[in-house]
Amino acid sequence: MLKIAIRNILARKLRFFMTAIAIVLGTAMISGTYVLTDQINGAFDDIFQQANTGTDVIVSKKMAFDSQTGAQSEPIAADVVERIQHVPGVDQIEGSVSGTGSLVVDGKSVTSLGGAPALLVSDSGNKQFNALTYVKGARPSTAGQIAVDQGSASKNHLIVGQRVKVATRTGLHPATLTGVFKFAGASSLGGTLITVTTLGDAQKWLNMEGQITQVAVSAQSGTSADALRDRIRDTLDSPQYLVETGQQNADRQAEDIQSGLSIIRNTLFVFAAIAILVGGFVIFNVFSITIAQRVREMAMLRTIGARRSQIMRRVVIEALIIGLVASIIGIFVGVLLAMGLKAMLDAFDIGLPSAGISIHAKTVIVPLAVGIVATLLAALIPAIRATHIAPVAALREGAVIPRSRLHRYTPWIGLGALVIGLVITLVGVNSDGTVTRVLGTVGVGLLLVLFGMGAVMRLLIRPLATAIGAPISAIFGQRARLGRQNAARDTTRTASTAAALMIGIGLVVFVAVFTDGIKTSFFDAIDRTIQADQIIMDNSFQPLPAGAVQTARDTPGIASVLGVGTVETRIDGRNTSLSAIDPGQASEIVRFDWRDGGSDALLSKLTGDGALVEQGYATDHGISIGDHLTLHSIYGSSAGVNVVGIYHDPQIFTGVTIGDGVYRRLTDQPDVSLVLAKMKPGADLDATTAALKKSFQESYPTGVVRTRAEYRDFISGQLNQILGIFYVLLALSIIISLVGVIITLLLAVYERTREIGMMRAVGATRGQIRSMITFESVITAIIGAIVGLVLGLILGYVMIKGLESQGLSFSVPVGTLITVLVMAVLAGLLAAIIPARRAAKLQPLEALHYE
Amino acid sequence: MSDEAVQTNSQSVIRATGVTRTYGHGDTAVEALRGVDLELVAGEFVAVMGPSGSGKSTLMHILAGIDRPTDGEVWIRDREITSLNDKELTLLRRTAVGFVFQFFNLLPMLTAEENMDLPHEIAGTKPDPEWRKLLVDATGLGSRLSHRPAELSGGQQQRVAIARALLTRPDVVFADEPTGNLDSRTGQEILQLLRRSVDEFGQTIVMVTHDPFAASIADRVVFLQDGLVVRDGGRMDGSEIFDVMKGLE
Repeated sequence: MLKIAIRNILARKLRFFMTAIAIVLGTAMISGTYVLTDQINGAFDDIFQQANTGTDVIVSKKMAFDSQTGAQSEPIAADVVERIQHVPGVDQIEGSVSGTGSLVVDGKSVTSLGGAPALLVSDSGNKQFNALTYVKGARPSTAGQIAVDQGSASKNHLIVGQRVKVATRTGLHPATLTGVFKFAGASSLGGTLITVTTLGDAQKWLNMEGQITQVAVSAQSGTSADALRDRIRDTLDSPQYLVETGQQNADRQAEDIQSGLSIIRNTLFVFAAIAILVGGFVIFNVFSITIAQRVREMAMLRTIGARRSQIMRRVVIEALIIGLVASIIGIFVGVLLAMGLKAMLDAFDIGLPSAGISIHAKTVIVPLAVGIVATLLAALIPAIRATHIAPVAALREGAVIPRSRLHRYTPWIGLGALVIGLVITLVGVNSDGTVTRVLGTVGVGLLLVLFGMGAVMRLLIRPLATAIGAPISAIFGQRARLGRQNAARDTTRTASTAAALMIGIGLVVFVAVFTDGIKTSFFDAIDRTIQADQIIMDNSFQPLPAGAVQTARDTPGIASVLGVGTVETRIDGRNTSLSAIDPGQASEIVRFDWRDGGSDALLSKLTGDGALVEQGYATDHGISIGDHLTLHSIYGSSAGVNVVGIYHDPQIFTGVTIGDGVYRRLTDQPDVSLVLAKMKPGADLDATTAALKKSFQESYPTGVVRTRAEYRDFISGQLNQILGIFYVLLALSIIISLVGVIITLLLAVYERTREIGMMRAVGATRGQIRSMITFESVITAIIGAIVGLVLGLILGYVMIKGLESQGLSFSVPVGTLITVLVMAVLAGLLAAIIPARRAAKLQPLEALHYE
Repeated sequence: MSDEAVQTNSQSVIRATGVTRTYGHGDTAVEALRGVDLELVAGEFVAVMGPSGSGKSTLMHILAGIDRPTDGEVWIRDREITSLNDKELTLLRRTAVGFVFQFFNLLPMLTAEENMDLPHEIAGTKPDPEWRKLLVDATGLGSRLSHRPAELSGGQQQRVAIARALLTRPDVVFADEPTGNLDSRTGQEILQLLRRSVDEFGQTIVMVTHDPFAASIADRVVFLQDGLVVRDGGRMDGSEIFDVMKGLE
């Protein structure tokens, strides 16, 4: 049976290739993701290890809890160095400073790629702790000198000797570039701008005079890192210090990178799973058709004594071979893809430090298992059906496999699954569990919905084919009608072909609806809540110094300015979004949607220890007016507040809003993450915005000034970028489903050889045959698209209704829907090219001889 | 035969001269036809007989314009068809030729009526309603018109196929083993239907068969052996044909 299976595959290479392509793409995505993320992880591991080679113990400020946003380390008093120096076993010691600082070159801001913060780091030149190797020039040795990483230098054409400015929280500082370095052997840390300067300059520029952020210590020979760490910990004897070995520090940093990457990894895996699900529909279809075509052959095997189990084994072996070969090809393709992507990143100078490609066991095992299991599952039902072929079929012309007993009920089972799936999705959306649990529930729900829809689809084919085909037939006449009738002749087959397309298109529409909901609700919220004319933010989403508010206020044409600050905060152990505002300015610029009888008069209570709580947060945690809350900041400080008012705002000021007095108790650096400016009545928008831009260019060049309209465009652009990535990833599943349409049509042409030959014999031209197949393809594609559209809209609606309390609102993305329909027609035309050509090539004679 | 051949050429529906057909090349070449001359006049019902491999199917395919001879000429009415390209042949088939197949070859997703109208549909023409009605009556399909092939018996399906072939009023209908897939009683009905279409409608029919009793309904029986016409004569009864066939095998 193995031999027959292999012969079968070899005899139909095109079919095999097309069947395999779905699995190849899906498994390639899995293995490629593994290789790429492993490579990046490995590279950062290496870098952190190498950076800490000579460092046995590292002392830094201990954060009160794990940061959600990667907050910068806080400074500690520099005299801690002297205290550690006297600990027995200490060989060398160095205090250093790191913070956020970018460059201004020829009036233009130079910073990290992709919105990552730019780093400003001190370098004493001590070789023991130094991870920097200078490839050009030398390290900064006196005040006013800096060096930058090689990647940033080459990307921005910086040369040694160049005069630049360093932009930090204390303003702009002129400096001379004296050197270009590699960090721990890497030319770039994923596009991060690293500027190095002397300790003195770093402290001055970062407003940390007399302070450091980290102490590196090396042990004398004979003293172990662990022992030294314990001794230093005992000497310092304060919970405000984090004392760890160099190894622990490297591991911790690597872990941070890893958890960031795992989000990307899981996202890619979700799309790989979608691609494989779509591929499953295609494989199911191909196997069903080929078995239907081989009825006589299978029946003949039965007549010469093959048992049902042997027939089944034969189909399963074929599926196994396809799954195995396709997965292996997929793994290779994935590795190549990862290498290609890496080379592309390198070419764009956002080169990640290169570690060699390492292929772990999971890189091979996971895609292999997924690919084989998916193929087997998809082929299982056709394989079982094959066993129902009666031996007598061998003697009959046009024998067909008897319908399975379940066949009649599948649409109803599907409908059940569809409804249950929708309910599960709804429950998932509304549940309060962890993100993973919510996503897991929603995922299971969506999966049921998709499968259910696939099964229900069969009942929709005839009516849809008629509805779609009627106008087309009216325009194009009889060839279109034949195409339509062909599309509706085997509803099960057309259903699973269209279902594959439905999944991709449904998800595209779903994502579009969802993003649209987020966008419109966010814009609504801005329009409702924020009365500012200009909105100013840091270009890498870092906080701006509080002085930025004064800079805006001093600009001509500006009437009032409100800075919104935030610090990572917990209340009763819950991470809570916190907004700090100046109560005196707030009523001018922010319009609160008061609840429980509140009014703007409440804002004055924020000058004391009053706090305002967002309605949703208050309801979720049982908070009401008069309650006392204790805020704990990530820096270990805390402040007690009294709840004085409740407002509704699920979009912008979520969580808790406090006054700047309380804010100063929580953090030493009351920075602002958002500066909202309002113009004097009658001031000119363009002129005032230009004036603001000029002010910020001079004082805080990382602050980007946007008008309301520009801010909307900016947010829109950010969301569209994410949407674009999702579309590209979903395009993969749509391509797989198109391959499904192609292969189904090819098999149909093969199956209908005699029919097509008869039509040619009675006078159909090649053109007529070609357009008949093309119409069949287009109608199938439109069916898939329409069902996908409706499904996507329903899912989007359910999701958004579930998130209504978050302020999301449902709207139909008409533009996207039209685009999707047009694309479906084009896709149908494209998919028909090969099958239609093949059908047109059939000679009437061949058709008659064909048996 | 010579009497008929003398009759005027204007009544000649099909004329083949020196038709040869060789499949393959060199050592593996097979000569299916080795020089066949044949002329059919309007209203003639010709049965082509011969043992397997005698070339009877090949001859029919060439006469119908769905295969090309290696050498020789074939005329349908006053057109020489071997020099026509695919498109011209296709258009010719729409008007000049009708087919009846052994396995009916109806489109499963169309109704009996739609199958009947298919050649007209393809050609973008309308069937003559009176002629269509006459055919529906003659084939006795009146109550079955909206059924799909799967809901029809073999005989009914073949009657649909015959109606389909006759509806365009072709110059000649080719029937390839039209009873080969039917039981003898149903086969007899089909043969009677073909006979009537010749007698009542003046249809010219070429029927390829290996069944002596089917052939006995024809006006003329042509025997092929090894790619050559070995006997060509008038009406024969079943046992006569059987004897000739026995001699050929």
